[in-house]
Amino acid sequence: MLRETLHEIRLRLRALIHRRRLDRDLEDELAFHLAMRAEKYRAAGVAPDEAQFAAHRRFGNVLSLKEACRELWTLNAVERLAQDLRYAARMLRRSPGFTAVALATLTLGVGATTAVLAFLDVRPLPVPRPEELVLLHWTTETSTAGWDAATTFSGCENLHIAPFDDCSVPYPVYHAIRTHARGFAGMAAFSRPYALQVRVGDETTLADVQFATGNYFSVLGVAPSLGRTLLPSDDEGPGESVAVLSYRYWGDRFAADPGVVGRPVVVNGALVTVVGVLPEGFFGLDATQVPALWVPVHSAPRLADKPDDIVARMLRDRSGLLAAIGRLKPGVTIEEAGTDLPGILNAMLDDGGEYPFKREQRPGIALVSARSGLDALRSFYGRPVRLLRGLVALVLVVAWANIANLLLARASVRRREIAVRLALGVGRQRLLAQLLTEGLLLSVLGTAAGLVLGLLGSRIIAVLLVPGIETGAFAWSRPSASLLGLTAALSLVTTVIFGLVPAWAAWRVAPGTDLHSGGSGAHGVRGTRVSRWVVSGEVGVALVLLVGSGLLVRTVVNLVTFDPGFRSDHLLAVGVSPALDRNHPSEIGEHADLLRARLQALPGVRSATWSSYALLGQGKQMGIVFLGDEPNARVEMVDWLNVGPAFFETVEMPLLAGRHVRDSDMRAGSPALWVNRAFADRYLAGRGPIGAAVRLGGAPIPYEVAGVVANARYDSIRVDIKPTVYVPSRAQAGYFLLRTAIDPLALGADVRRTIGSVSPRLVVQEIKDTRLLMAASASEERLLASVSVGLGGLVLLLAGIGIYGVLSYSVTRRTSEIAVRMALGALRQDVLRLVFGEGLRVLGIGAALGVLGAYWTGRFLKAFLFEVQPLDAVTYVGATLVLVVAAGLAAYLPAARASRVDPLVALRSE
Amino acid sequence: MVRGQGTDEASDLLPGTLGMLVLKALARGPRHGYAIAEWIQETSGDVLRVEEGALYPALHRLELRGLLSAEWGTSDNNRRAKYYDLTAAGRKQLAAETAQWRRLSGAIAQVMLST
Repeated sequence: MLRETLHEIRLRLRALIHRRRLDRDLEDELAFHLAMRAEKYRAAGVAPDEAQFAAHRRFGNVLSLKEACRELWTLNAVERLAQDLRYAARMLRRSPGFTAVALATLTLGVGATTAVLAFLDVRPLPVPRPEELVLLHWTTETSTAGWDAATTFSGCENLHIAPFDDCSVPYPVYHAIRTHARGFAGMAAFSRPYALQVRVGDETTLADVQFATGNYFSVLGVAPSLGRTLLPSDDEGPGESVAVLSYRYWGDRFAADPGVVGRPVVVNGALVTVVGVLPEGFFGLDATQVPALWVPVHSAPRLADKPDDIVARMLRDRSGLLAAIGRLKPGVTIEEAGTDLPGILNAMLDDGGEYPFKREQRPGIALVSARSGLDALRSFYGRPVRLLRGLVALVLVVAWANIANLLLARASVRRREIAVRLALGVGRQRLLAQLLTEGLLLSVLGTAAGLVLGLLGSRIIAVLLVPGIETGAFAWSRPSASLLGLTAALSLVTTVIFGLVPAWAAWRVAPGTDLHSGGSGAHGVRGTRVSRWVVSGEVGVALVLLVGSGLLVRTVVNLVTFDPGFRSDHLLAVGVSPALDRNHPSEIGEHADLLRARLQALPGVRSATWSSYALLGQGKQMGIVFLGDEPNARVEMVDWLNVGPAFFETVEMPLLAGRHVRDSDMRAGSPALWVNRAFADRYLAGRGPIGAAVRLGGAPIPYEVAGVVANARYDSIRVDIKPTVYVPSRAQAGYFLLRTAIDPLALGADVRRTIGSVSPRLVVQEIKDTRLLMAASASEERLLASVSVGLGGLVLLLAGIGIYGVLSYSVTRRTSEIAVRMALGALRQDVLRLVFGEGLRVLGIGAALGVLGAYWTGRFLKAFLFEVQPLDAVTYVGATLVLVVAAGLAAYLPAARASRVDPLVALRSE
Repeated sequence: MVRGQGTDEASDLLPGTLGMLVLKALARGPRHGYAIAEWIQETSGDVLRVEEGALYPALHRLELRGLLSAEWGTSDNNRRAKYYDLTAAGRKQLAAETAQWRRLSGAIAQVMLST
């Protein structure tokens, strides 16, 4: 049986491939038979042409016989499909408008969904068997463990698996677990990347350095592309420090020198030897913070800026500056591996060591899958991403609604054609198959195009959202099975919509009635009403998006044009610090005066000063002041900024009272202090602020207020202004601010040269245009605004198409009615009014829905807005106007068509 | 359909018989379609006339089922013709159908000739 079937299939396939040969063979075979019969008649004495004729007659219908035989040979299903596809393509080409719109709608809908989903697609780390990797999470029931101030690992999110949790692990705990836990093939500890000074040759720049234990790379399963990775032997004691480079850093700073192994570099003043380069595409555990170098943890104390700073404390008991990642033994589950841990923890609590956690806090250790690394991206951008997801789902729904509407309208228009075909004897099943094939063709094309567009789009989103991101980590390079599965599902659903809607319409066609009534049976008044409501819904969604994007755009404009209290344009901020050198420690303050003088002398610079933080650089200091006389002095925490001479004149912060900062104020014993208006209003009201005594925490002598300046935001735009003191001091003069006459960044090279001329030991950390800093702080809002404007425009377009479709169909349906009206004396404008009136109704309902929707969704936007309320009237009015104009345009075309109906022609064709 | 010589009241053979006849026609060696039709007509004493409309679909069906093999060759009068032959499966099928036919016709004969 099987052999028979196989043989048959083989023959059929061959026939399919050599179709022409089959045809020729059949013809030849039948022609031969015909010729033989004719000969037989001739031999019997019949005249030659009579013989031929008789033979033919006996034969019967040659053609249909040939067809019958051919039918036997072909793979019917495949041939039929090919035929259907050809026919479908022809039908689609015949109505280019519909095809273009349907394809575009589908592509954009699928594309938008795929873009966001590909962006959110969580990819496993590019290491062997990433599902075996787990991260240690520290949990406590009561308060957070008593870590030393600011010594926790920052870079993993709170997972809410316990009242308090994070992934900071003290080194001794990591060591105990690594030694005693049995479920792990290996466990390594690592720090977050720190920006340290790295000198390669003559050039010193800041680079991100990550500290890790020697087995870090073997736990992850990463082999070097050059030299070696870190090894456990690197953990043993101090001694020479080594470093491993990331592939990108090797290319950027070492020009991909193949002889880099063994080269010395200086990290924070300490000598370190390069021992290897990691492979391309390896980015550590967090795609948003890719380190340039990896250094063993035990080198940390040597590389610290100061003996007591954060890096130096890495190995101490009370510091949780490390996180721990382990690889499970093959076959061991996360639960099994976790059973050892409470015991180990208890043993530690018993041994009396100096740990920051107490038994009363009920500490525990949870294991969390680290298959995708630290997932920092998702947590940080969780808020806008969720909003994006919601927006995109809306777009998809609107796209599908539009397509369904388009199809319904088109199906009604094709009723006549379908009726004719049914009357001609095409089986209903055949017809349905053909319609479904049409749907299949459209949806496959649209989904494929959408997928390509989506993968491109997700890359664009990622690059915009996180500049410098390791793009290899994301899905467009290797779309995951689930993403492809989702796209296939989308394709299936759209095929069903595309195919079934007209098929359902066709099913209900009765050839007789439809041919008679001229196809104006319509898919019922009910169907039309459904279409109208759907389009109204789309209009509503469009309005919601327009209002939302309007609010976001206003937010961005507000953020960028906000007056921060000083003049932010033409203000260059230069971050400088002395190169770290153990043997010659130096402070920036020593160079401050000389730097200022030389920078001020540059052509293009009007005035120069310094401060301890860059204005609007999102960093700030706070300090303690004592107000009033002892012993009843009040203690207050205020914002604090160290400033240089002519500070307020340079940044153009208005002086409200008193005088400006002079060179003489930099002297050690000088008591002059400046405050802002918030400070004066709050603490010095009731008496003239000038001359008031203020004691600064940590200063031996009391200060006197020498001037009051206007309020200004100096750390970030969104934060309210606090009482601030400005202390003239050379200490921590880390940022030089230059008021320039020309484009600030054009001075970059000159500035670097000048700083180098003051001392070769000075490192320029950054050069920023303050205006751009302000703009950059609005990057998240800017992204949201642009995406929602884009999506809003898209939905507006779709809604416009919907309106056009509904009105167009209505006009087609009512052509005879319009013709009659015109014959009875209706004018062109009456017809226009008729159609526009219908459009107005759709628009009106849609706008009403939209206003309600916008009002309701306003609260979700509140967190993103700045200086504008969710119920902002101007935005609502503006959005509605845009909507009305667009709807008007969409309605114009069918209305114009209706008004051009020639009554004679229309009535005659009935 | 196989038709008897008198047109309408043809000897309506049971369906499927044509296949068996064709197989038999090829028992002695390969033949082309025309020769098969002629042989059946002659051997049946002109009673069974095979119509082309029935013959060729039957031939192709048998070929698809693997009971016949086909080869193109030249006929006696130098025309291109398709020659059919029995395959091993075809021979087996012929034997089976012959046995079945004998049994069936024997049984019918017994019924019809009883008094």
